[in-house]
Amino acid sequence: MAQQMPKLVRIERRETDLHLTYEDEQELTVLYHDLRHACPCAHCSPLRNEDETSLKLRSQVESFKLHKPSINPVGHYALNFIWENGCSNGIFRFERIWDLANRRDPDHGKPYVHGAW
Amino acid sequence: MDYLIIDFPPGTSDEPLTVSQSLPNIDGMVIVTTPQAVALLDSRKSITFAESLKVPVLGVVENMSGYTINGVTAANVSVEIAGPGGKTIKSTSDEDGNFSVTLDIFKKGGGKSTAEDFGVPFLGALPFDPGFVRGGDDGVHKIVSDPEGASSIAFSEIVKQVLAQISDKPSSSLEII
Repeated sequence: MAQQMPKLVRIERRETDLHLTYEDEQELTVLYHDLRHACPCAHCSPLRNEDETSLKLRSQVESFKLHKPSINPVGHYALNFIWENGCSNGIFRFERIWDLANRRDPDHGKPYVHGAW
Repeated sequence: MDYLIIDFPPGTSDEPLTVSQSLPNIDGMVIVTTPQAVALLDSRKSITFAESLKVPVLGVVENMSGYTINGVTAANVSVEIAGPGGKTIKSTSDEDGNFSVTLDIFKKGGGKSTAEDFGVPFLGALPFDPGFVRGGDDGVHKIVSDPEGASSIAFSEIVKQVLAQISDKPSSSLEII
């Protein structure tokens, strides 16, 4: 059974990753490259459907110079990361960040389909 | 400013979505519904919508919940009114001949049952009161002009419950450094 997601209380933007602190005192990290590869926007998501395009997306995000993103809360439920280059459109639900921090596939193996909610 | 209340149209359109995304510290959402089934469909969607966006649902208010008619007749007599759906509503006048009957024009109880179904608070019911309409047109709200009236009392009880929830709520800020 999947662990219940604790509340995210602190984010530290480090040189190459996010350092996340949860309410239950768990401290986890997410690499910026992993975060950007997992962008849930309608442009990036379909690229992860196929291995070939997913690898291209990975290469692209790894080619960007590492820097700390700006972070905007999106309501109560998500965060938006603003990068100096590449895609900044993704709205990352806290569950998605939790999955990434726990090294799980945030798409849960499901291919992206436009308009499928 | 103490509180900002944003009134949305029914349903889960772009307006509540944009506001839910743009305002990071929303205290909660109050679902206002009339009791009939068609309105409750939208209200249920709104609760699911709020839960999906992690906006706390402060509760459900049943609006236009019963229209009360007051009248005078002979003392201690039975009064019958033809109510909605062919239902006969009975009342008895008091010693002064006063009587009242309540017509459930949009049915009754749908707000409470919806709140129970979703496990959220039922904040109360507001009567169907034409005084709200007149007050709006006249520029003096019914709650101001008739603070001791049944509608004002019902409204105040709802506000008290909302305030109790908001003031009990701990701060939920996320630290980003």
